[in-house]
Amino acid sequence: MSDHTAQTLNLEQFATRFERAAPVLWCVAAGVLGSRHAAEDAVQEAALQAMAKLTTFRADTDFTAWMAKIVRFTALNQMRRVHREPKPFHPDIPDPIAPTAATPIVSEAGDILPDQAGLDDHVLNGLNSLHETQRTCLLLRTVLELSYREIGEMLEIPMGTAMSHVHRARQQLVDQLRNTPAGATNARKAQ
Amino acid sequence: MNQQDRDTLQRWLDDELDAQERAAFEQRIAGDTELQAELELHERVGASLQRSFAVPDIALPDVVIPDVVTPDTAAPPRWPQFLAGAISAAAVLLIWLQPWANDKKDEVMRTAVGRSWIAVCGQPDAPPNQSACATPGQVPAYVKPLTPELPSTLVWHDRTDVRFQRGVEPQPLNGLRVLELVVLPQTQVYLFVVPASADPRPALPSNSDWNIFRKTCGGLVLYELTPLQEPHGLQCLTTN
Repeated sequence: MSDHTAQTLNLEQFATRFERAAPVLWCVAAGVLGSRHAAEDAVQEAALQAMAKLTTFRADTDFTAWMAKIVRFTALNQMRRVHREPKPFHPDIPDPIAPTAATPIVSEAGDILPDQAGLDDHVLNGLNSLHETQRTCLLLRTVLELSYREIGEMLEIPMGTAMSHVHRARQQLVDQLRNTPAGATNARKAQ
Repeated sequence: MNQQDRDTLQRWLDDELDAQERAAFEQRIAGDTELQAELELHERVGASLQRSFAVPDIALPDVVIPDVVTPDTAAPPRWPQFLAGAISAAAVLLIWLQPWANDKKDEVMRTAVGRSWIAVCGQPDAPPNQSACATPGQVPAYVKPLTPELPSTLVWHDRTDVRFQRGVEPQPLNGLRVLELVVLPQTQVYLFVVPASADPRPALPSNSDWNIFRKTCGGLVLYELTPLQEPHGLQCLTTN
């Protein structure tokens, strides 16, 4: 067995692994917080915490899973803090990296799809009604196309549970959407 | 459409059907408008999520300093008596020579929350080895918390929402908590530190001549309001 020092990471190694893990970490944070810009902050805050306790990381274990745990706790703490803080003074200020829901989506043929913006809004609203674990599983599966085994490892839940979360979350979003004008329009078009 | 159809559709979306199941299900989809509509809703939800949650580039915080002596809590060094005279003379000489003038060294803000620091680096005349930014591993002795020098009036965002007045502590206004505010006298750059958890994400009017830059430093966010086109060169330091 090698000595403990050899099993830890230096900051350069940390940065390399962090870069590779960043998409997963961001999705975990976005899943917990349901917000793009808050996710970025949570990941950076988690990175600072992780660097401060880098000696506790064993280099022969899964770095992404280790960081994902820190990100998740950081995001949960951030969410609790936000609930205690007063609301931002200008909630209507557009988030510079938020999805531009008002922007029409243009098809490959150049046609503007009029119901797309509304659909995105409904999907985001539906997403926020999900439990944070469901939301995180769904984003990891849909955005990053992680396998259920990988999602389970990231969130420390059984693979079957991860799959169940994704299926329920998808169905819930679809069911909610079906009852909206955007979804109804879509359903009519399909018939 | 029954629950079994829904389950099969989920497995089809996950590409978990074997070839035979897949062919049979796709045949069913072809002849079932309800299934087609359900499938299209699933696909559009997936596409919407991928659009809305496209992963951004995540940068690591620039610098982490694990063991920093906080200037106002550090114990003074115990110098031998016989060195006191020499040190005093050296200090006088240093003041006279002014090897780095007040506004030419790093300016460092110590926030009221946590143990994070934000250094404004890149002052062109700062001696390289006397810069907190050039020597990440220790905070130089000259680093001290700055006393906010508030401008006479600063109106931020649409010129109506937030005002800071000289001699007045920044107060919560419409929910905004400003932990520190510093004005760099040479460039008239305004720096604000806010807690990340209450980040207002301000924006300037599109016709503004000023620019606003944002930097995350752990649980803090630094905003730089500047007439310049580039941010001033900022680094996060933290003791954690």
